[in-house]
Amino acid sequence: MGNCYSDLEGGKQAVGGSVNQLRTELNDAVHYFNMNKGLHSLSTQLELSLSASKLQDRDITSKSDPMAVVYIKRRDGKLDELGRTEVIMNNLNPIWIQKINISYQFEMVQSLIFHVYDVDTKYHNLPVKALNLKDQDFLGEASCVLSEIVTKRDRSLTLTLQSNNGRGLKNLGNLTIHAEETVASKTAIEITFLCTNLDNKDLLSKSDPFLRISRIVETGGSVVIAKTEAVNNNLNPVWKPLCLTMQQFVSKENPLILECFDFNDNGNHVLIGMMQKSVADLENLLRTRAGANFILPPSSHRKHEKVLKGKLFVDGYVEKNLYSFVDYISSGFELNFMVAVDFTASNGNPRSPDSLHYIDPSGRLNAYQQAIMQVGEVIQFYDSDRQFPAWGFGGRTYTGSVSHCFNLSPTVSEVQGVEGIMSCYAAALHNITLAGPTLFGPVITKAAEIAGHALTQSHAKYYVLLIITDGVVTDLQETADAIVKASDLPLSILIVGVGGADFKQMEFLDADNGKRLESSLGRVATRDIVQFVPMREVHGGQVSVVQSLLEELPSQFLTYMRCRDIKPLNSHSNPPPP
Amino acid sequence: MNTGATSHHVLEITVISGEDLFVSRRRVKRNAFVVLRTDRNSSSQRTKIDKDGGSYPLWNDKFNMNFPMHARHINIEVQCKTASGNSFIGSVNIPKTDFLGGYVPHGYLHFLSYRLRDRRGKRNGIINISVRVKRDEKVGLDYGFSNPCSSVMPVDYKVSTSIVMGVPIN
Repeated sequence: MGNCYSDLEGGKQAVGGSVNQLRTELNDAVHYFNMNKGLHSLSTQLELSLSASKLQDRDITSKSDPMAVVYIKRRDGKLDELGRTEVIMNNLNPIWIQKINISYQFEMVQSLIFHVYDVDTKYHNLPVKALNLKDQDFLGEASCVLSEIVTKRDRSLTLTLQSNNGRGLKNLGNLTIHAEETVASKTAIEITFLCTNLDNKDLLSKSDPFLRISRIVETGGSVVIAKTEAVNNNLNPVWKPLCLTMQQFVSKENPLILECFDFNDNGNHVLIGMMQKSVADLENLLRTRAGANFILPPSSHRKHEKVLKGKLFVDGYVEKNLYSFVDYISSGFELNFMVAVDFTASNGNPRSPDSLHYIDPSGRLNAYQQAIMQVGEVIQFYDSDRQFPAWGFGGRTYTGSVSHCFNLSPTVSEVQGVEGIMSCYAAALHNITLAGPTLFGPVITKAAEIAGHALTQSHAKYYVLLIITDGVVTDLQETADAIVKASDLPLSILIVGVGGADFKQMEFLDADNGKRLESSLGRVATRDIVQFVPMREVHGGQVSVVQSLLEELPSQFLTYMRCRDIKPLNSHSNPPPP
Repeated sequence: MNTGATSHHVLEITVISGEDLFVSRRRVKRNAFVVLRTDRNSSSQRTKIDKDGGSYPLWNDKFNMNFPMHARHINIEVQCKTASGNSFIGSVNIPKTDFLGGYVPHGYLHFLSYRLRDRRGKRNGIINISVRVKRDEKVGLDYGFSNPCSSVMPVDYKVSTSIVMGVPIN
């Protein structure tokens, strides 16, 4: 029988957080499922509310009639308009009502530009979308990064307006941006299904039914979002409650496909029946206590769909709110960044231009610098003191012996900001001789130690270790052991592979294939904390390597916090979810 | 103070769930349960029987366990009840270093998972548990040693009984 169970769907456990399991849409199982189906990071919808004070007065007979326009700056520097507020008449301290929607993506630096205009009276009967901005008086501009807003305690950030030509330091007033998560993105439902009179598909016993729920996507086809456990030998099964989030089912009106299968050990589950229902329909089934008949779709030997006598009932339906990543971050939780750089000899002599460590005098960044910059510029906003431990491994240090975890800076253990890491990295290349072998164990253990120690002071810190390496790990089992131990701590590990080496082992450490990492002593990782990306993709493709590296972080963070029932700080002041 | 040595730790153990359990090369159908003991005291505690969880049982049973100072591990044994008595599925010894000492604060909630081995030492499924040191108890007089947990544990740092890790395994 053995490998008959190798596919995820073959396992009889529920996916989608049954009531006794971790109550989270981002539980690893579902997340793995989504990853498989190409549904990567689940972004969060935010609404930006804008207000301004002390705006310039441009009208002669009355006060300005201000309107704000919000843009997002693309990587190539181009601006995409996200939306416009309404025009408020005669007001230098406007509070705009029209909200601007934006989807917050943790893994990207989302630069926002705000322009404020005084809209001339003669355009007031035009819809704001139709206004030609060139015809309006410019009152000032401001810019920030979206993460700066969400990391603020009250999710509000006040910026000083400036003129667009950079001339004049005249005070043009202030603009305040407040971000609010749309309620929908936090809503989850817990739903209990039962069936009666299902068809029997097994010969010697009764069917072992389970339900699978998919969402129909715009592009056609469907994405599986959850499934129940299989109930053995039962044609009238009652399943454990299933948790679905709004991010999974999108809206209550969105049609979902519910399929009931007979579980088979060989993975060829037999379809018992299916139906299409929205969450609103399901809610209605509960209210009316009515059952919905399963159908079998038309097939090669049957022209029409067949209505079956098997019925689906909804036995329980509860709506609830979950704390989101933004809830934690804006309440004062931090992501603390740590970096470890590979100083093994396989990188090549740093003085030679073909070395991976070559510092180009023209300023072009080498692969190590790129990885530090790109990950650092995203994470730095989530670390309030911006003091980052920066280590090297596999190099011969000042003392003359090879060290597998040494400070890049000869004087301090933590450096200031991403620039601090960059400069001490460049300086270390002059002082450290590249050596070997490549060991990750000491660096991971050091990071775990810091994360563990920090727990005595606060549980509002989560650590992110970035390891940049050019090659093959010598201590694979020791590394796995260290990772398994660290899976119990508030720590995630990002590994960037640079150069052309074979990174197969890294895929083993990154448990994305669904296989849990196991230590030599038989301990198993409680959650996936490793994410690996080869940097070479960045040279060819345009897709940022950093995005795929970072996109799992919020869910790893949430898995840690939620399974320990750690709540956002001051969660008594915001009403906690019911 | 030197006579005030801890005689045992009081552990709060939640036996959460099992995954992918086999008994005599067949998937466990029903009735799996767990027996807990230490290598020092012979008394054992057991979870309820999970009737319908099959090879992915869910127990969520919480226990207090006295873990003697000189004990080295917790022994966990998964069995299943059959018509002909109890059959052994697999066991694991959890070393105390996984939940005592180390650099995390005393009273930290550890989520731990282990590979089970059957009688012949062959790999079987996985067991998921959580362990927390509730307090330390001493022989004889109390020397005014206060509960170490209360000094480091935030007030809202509690574990709900209904929450377990859900991690997939193929």
